[in-house]
Amino acid sequence: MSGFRLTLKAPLSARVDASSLLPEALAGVSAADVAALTVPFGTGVALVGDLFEITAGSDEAVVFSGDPRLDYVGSGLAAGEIRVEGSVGVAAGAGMSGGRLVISRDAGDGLAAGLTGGRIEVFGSAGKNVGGPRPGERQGMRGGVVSIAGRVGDGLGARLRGGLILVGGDAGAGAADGLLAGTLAVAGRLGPGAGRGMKRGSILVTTAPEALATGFAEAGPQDFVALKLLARRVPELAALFGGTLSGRAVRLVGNRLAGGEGEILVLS
Amino acid sequence: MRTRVTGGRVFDPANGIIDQVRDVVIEDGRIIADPGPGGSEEVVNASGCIVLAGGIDLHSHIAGGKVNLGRLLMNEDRALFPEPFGDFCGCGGGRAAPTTHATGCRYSQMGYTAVFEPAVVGANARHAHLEMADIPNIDTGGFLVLGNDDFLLRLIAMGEGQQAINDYVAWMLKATQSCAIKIVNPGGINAFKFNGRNLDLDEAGPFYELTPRRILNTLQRAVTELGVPHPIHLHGCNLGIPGNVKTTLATMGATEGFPLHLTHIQFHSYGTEGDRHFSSGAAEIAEAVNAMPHISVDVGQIMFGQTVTASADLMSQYRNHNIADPKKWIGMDIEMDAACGVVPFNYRDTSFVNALQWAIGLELFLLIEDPWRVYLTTDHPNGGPFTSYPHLIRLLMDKPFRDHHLRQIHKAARSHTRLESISREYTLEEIAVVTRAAPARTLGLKDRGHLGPGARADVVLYEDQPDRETMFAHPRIVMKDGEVVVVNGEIVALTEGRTYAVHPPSDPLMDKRLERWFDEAVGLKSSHYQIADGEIRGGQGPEIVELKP
Repeated sequence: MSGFRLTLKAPLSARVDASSLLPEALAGVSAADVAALTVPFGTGVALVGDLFEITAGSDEAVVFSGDPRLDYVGSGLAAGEIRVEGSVGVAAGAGMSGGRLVISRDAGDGLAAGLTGGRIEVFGSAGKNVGGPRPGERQGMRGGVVSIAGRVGDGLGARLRGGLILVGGDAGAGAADGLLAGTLAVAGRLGPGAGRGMKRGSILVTTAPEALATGFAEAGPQDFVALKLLARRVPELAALFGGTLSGRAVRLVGNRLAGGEGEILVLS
Repeated sequence: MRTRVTGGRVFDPANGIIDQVRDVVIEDGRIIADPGPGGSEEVVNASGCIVLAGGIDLHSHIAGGKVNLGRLLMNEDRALFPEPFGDFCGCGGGRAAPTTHATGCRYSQMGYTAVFEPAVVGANARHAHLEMADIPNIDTGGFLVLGNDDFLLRLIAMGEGQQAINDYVAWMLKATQSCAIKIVNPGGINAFKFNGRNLDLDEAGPFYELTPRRILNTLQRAVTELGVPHPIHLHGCNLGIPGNVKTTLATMGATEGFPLHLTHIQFHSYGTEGDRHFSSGAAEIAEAVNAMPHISVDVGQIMFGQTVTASADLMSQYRNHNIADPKKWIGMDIEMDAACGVVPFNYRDTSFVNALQWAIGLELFLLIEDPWRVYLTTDHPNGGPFTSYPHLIRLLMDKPFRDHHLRQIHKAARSHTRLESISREYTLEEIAVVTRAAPARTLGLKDRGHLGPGARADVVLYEDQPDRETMFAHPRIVMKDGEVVVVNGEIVALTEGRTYAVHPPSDPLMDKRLERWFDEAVGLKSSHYQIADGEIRGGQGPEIVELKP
């Protein structure tokens, strides 16, 4: 077993950039080697061994005990698995291109920013800008799957370009801002101002959103064969809405101020 | 405190010292004549090293409005190249659009000790100076951009006479604490604001009906009559347009005998031959430069990889914005006196055009015979980040290395360049000229770029090794004003540099006249526009460059 378990010795007193602690980077090294690595800590650096107790893992995965100041967990992950038993800070899984990241509690802002592939599962809630662009980027998440059991903050799926985001709880204000393509599914309520500048893509919800951004038009209830196919092909999407999709939904077309090729489907 | 750098091979072409093993003695931040043994001295062993003066980059966009817009646009640049955590670093970073701290650190890690910002727009001059003051370990200076500003164009169009122009130029140089005049696309940026999309050397612009030639000649005369050491620093017409080699040659012929510096000439050396209608004009340009001793150039070599172009030439940046990579750009006006365009580029060796641009730059370096009139630049960040200089130096010094890279570029581009047939390799002496002695001379910095008595004690020790790229990327020791700031390519100390300016005298009546003009036409008062000496580098004040008699 080449994996490691990194248990924090004490709650973190400053923010840590954990982007270098990836399974690929740690494969084939000893626990002492891992302890001797440095990570950015506050405005300086710290030895991994000073912050974490390092033990061999039970499988190939890298397992962290979480902390809300542990940032960039799994950022840049291309293969392998990272599990966090607790919460993480900002930008977890940012720029991930493959592999799997599992967080047992909450994630901070910028979860899955610029994701291009792989899977992220969060069992608690997540902060702002889930699946959005990283600084300087024109597009947000471009592929992969993100599933969040709880609620998410504002700005869900901003400039999303591809992939699937599943939210078990409510979403904050301004979701799907400038969304380009891809799919959002929100089992709870969609916050106000969603869909501003949304060009294409789909948002699946169960309750009609209250205050969408200007530019949407209701096209009435329709039967969608595609929804039934989708439920069969993507079981986790169906599971989010109770196991089955009826195929019937009210279609809100928009955002017509940005081309109007997207849609919000209110499932019935 | 006296320091003796001993045992190194000294290359000091300005003083005719080439590859001689001799001591360099430093006292109180200056180089002094060797007083002989005796007294208390700190000895720096330079055996196995070559000893050069500190590097000088006379054209690198390191401060000011457009540089900051570049940072804003290229956020990801800092994420990709963060500053290493440690005692001296830990914040900022970047390559194409580095933060001020990273700019100073990367430059001094290569052995550079002075860098000049070649495009300071008057309205942004205060910002540029504040940023320059924040760059550690290097001395700086700014070139003021004129040639598209309404007041000047109005003076020329109304036939006000050369004295009024001279007074205005002198007033502006002092007000903005700049050390030379730069012209960006003379009249062209103004024409762009009247929807002009190009303006050739002898084409009258809209509204003022002035030709770029007339604007150029007027300012050349002003700079010469005022005694500003550096000639007009010209970013000419038609940048980047295939066939612009004709314009560039015409510009060289239009100087009326005044000296002229043509900047990033690589972007101005394109022909229209071949089935792709894009070819190298380097041979014609080099021939002309060789024949005209009053012309100097810097190359603006392009280097493959991601960068961002930031230029006051909004006309050409607007032309290029469709090929931005990544797809984003900024174009803006600045106080109606200038403009700015910021467009990210990713130069690829698999692209015919980029590959040929790369070859054209190298051809220019190698075909222009006099190293005293060609300066090593990539027009940072427009041709590539300045951190690529060591690689560029190796391309110039190492023919097999150059041929190896030539074999990797776009096939069709290879057949359009004569680079393979050029056997010239730069010597260490020539590198010392193009990166040190020559830029110091053209800028009128008498105590820089050489190692003679009285010079600033900016001394760099490079370990002599066959791989020139490694050699010039990791100097053994860099001294700034006698203080060691870099050891084995790592920063060990941060010092504050100085800022160069020229203060030619102007008629006090020009003060009155400009006060009125600022009240009528500009967004702030003339008294607020002018930068006081005490504002430079937190009260240190500018270092005044002597005017030519």
